[in-house]
Amino acid sequence: MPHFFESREQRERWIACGFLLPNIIGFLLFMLGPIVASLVMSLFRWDIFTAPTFVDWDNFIEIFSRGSGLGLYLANTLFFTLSVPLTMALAVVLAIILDQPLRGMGFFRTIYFLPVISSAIAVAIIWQWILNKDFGLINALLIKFGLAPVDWLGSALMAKISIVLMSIWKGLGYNILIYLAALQGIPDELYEAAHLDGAANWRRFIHITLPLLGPAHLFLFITGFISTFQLFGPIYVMTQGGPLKGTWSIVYEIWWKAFREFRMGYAAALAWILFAIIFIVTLLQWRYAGRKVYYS
Amino acid sequence: MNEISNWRRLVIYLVLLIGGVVMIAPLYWSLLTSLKSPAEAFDGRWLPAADRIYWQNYLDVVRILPFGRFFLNSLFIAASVTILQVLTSSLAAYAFARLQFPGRDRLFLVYLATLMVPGQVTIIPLYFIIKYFGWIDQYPGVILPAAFTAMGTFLLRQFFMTIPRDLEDAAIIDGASRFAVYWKIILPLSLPALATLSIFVFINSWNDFFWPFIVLSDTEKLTLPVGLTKLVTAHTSDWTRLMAGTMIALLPALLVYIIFQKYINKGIVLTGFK
Repeated sequence: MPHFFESREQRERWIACGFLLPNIIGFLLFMLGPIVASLVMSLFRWDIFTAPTFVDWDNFIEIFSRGSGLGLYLANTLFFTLSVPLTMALAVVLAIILDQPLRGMGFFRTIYFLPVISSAIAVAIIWQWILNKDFGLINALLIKFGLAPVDWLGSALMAKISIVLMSIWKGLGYNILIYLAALQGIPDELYEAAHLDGAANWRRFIHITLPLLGPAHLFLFITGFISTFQLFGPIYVMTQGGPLKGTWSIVYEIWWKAFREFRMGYAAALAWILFAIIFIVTLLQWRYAGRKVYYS
Repeated sequence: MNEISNWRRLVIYLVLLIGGVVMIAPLYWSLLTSLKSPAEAFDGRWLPAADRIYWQNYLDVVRILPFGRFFLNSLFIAASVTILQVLTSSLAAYAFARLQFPGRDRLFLVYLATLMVPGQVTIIPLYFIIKYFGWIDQYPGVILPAAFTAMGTFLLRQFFMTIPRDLEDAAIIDGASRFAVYWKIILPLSLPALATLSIFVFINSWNDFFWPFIVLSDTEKLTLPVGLTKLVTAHTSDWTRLMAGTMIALLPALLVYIIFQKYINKGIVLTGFK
């Protein structure tokens, strides 16, 4: 029996190996391995039909050189992130309302949450339909109220706005849920004290509620920013990056370069630039906003 | 709690009602479209004519593309990802939470670090790994890369850390193996966390698009979201049928949510806010 020769620690090492193995094999093969491979790939030129050639930093240099379109699709992607603060602003107000001890709040919460649980593709198709220039619900309503119909997906700017509107609609319920959970954590005594001091409602909102929701703001901003930067499905369905590349986002460009133009090294390099952006923004948020956030 | 005046109550309900209508209108309008005949699709009526509900769209759409098959594919893939993820990550999480081995904390840090890497970074090498195994257009090609994210290991490790050690220590003194402790003590005590993780992984996998879209192209193998995009590209302005297909993809998920919403809401707050 090996137990007689091995110390307790050594035995525990083997046991730990057994526990870790099933997960770690998958983790190495499908996560860590590809991450390292992607780093290496970004230094190669590879069209999948011929052997890859080492090109040093050429892919990165090309991405940052004129005419690569980096500025355009970065600007488009940043435009989409407008949906993040807008959703948060709507959600914080609705969460405070839904937090009131009134009847039917559960019902409304459910309604607001339905888009969150829906598939992004289904939502994108639905929005394509209600934004339809000739027969869509939104233009029908605009006409009914005597306004001019809008060609929602017809111009670069309006298509971007459409994606933002859809993102707000889809993400609102999630934001509300996170704010509601955070509101439960604010002690009632703070409000009572403010009430006794005669603070007006909106002042209590500005000076107590909003700052105390700090961790929720930070969390929603960072996760919202990251997921917006990774938006792909709705763009593919609603606009295919158009019109005139008006909704061509960074992820759309990665997909296009990799699986349409078969420029694998270039696409890998671009994916690392996406990572760098996400990483830096998260870090800045933690450092500058995180310091001011109040944690209970 | 201070009393809420009737006037304020009215404002509150009015705001919620307007918001609720905005949220529900796109869904309702699409459902309505799916129940209209193609000729009536653009009539702008708000209620379906009771005697003329047009179920034909659903029959048509199932004939154009095998939506029943898509449904089963999505179910099978999401269930497999969930089972694999929960099983392997709970094992690994136990090792990280309770066992001593060299490099444990460093390895856990590597796990954590990968959480920050967006899927787009790994997707290109992943494609070639899957291709190497011959899994392009195969279920394992969709399932396996989604089943080993660090998220599950991280969440469960955090949860296991909160379980007091006393019970385990007693069992080990009584001669129970580590696996018995994991299986008979830790897992039963972690049911809420396991349920939360399962629901999460399942919903994410069910709605996942980018990776299945890249791996799958054979119609018989598609998941619902990928199948929907095929319908969109093939029948761009066939709105009544398009909406019928969308409803087939959407309504079961919404139904599941409405039934399990308490659990799901709690899970989102737990996982999203820890």
